[in-house]
Amino acid sequence: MHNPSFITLTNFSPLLDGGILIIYLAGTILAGLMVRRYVKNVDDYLVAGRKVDVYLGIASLAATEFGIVTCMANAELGYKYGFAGTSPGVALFAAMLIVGWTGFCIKPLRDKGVITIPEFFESRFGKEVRWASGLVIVLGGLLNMGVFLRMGGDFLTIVFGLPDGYLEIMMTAILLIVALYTILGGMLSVLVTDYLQFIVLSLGLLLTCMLILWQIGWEPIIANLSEAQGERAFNPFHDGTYGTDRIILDIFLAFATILTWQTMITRILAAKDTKTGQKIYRSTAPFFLVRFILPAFLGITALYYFAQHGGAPDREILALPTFLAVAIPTGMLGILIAGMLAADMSTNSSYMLAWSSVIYNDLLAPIHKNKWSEKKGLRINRILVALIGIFLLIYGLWYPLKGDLWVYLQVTGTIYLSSMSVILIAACYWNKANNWGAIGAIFFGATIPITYLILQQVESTQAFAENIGPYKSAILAYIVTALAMVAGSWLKTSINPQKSTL
Amino acid sequence: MILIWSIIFFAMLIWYCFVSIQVGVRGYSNIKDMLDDLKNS
Repeated sequence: MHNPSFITLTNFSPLLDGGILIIYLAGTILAGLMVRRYVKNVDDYLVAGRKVDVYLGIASLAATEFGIVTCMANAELGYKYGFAGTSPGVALFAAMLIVGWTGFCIKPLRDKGVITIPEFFESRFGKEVRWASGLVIVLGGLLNMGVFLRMGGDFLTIVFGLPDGYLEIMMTAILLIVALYTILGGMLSVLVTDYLQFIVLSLGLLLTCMLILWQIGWEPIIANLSEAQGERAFNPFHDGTYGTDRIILDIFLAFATILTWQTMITRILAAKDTKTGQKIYRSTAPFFLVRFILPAFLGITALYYFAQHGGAPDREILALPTFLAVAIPTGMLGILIAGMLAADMSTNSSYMLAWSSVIYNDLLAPIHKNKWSEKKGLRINRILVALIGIFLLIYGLWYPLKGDLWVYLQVTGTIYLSSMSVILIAACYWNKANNWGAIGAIFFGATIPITYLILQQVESTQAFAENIGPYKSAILAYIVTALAMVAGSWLKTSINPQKSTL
Repeated sequence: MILIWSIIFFAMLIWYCFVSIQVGVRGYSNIKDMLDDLKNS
């Protein structure tokens, strides 16, 4: 809970800033609803008929992967670790550039013309692996996304200067607006609103950074950071504060995310051809560094501001909104909040659609067997998006977040990222891989992070979980998953050489 | 290290300004082409 005495301190003006927000919201909803008439079948709804070109792909990918939750988490990293906290961004930038240049895994995936990764696995490992992959993708994805609404609500209630009781109302309002156009227009609405949201988000973020540089200047902020945190704020390897294990996990996670995170890979699958898909990745790669560096800079500026004026919040995750509410002038605050709201809405809409596409395409495949009419398929997809929205609202209200937000996102993401990345690489480049290896990889990839999350929540095992730490447990998940893939495939080949091709 | 981070930060800020304008202009024509294609398909 943030400090109630701080609540009233905000420069938000209902007339000026509120007016900017209403214009932005009305424009977005209108654009999202207008394109729904172009949706004729499930392919249009889930992958926009595979007609996405480079610049729309960049806008959509960038807007989707930058939400309020990303901004708060990365600002928290900057607030706590300085520029050393941007290590995940450096790893993501490098991974995306390498994958975009080489077409590693994404080329065979896009060439196959599938809607989801599990669908790709079926041709190599059979229906069971497709179904199990879909299950862990949905489980990991929904747990990961579960905290988005709460963080978005936290951010908005603080910058609006509302009391704590308004959090739930704020969460519900965000969700209802996003659900309205996502349910009706699917991927087409998501793309068009992503484009608008990218522009508003960029405007808000760039103007805020420039305003800070103009008003305070670069040198006082950096001098304060250097005084408060010393060398470790600039060097992630210095005295182990950030930690080598955390850097190793950042690298594993970066490659796994680029290759298999459903909202990212959907842009490759929706691209008009493989070359366009690769170009979208190459061109968006620097944005994944921007996505860390600019919020980290805001977090570092918050550290400077609180050192000068006091009033730092109890929880570091709330440093960014608390700082913005009091330091950004009226009018500019409206543009910034519109930008943050844009970031949040584009993320929520894409994520809701991404997980519903996996539920429909993979988990429900044994039921519909691709025999449902387009009309029925569209209706079911829309119901699934609505159900995911309800889940998010309920989960977001009761899950108590412990530790770094970024760590929670990494651990829950690992539930599927470790196994899916290992299986994808094996499916593309290892002839001896088979379904036993894939099932083993899925089992261990999901079990290790889920066990860690449970140990972290249960009081009697909290100390044990703390001793291991989130980074080592997640690294372990990647290593064990790769070993399980190799061992399972080898075991099946040894026992029954005739059936080892599946 | 401070100098390196200063260069990275300002390079990224300039890149972001440039790309935002480019995406803003060319993304719009991408949307028009996509909707035309869908209309005619």
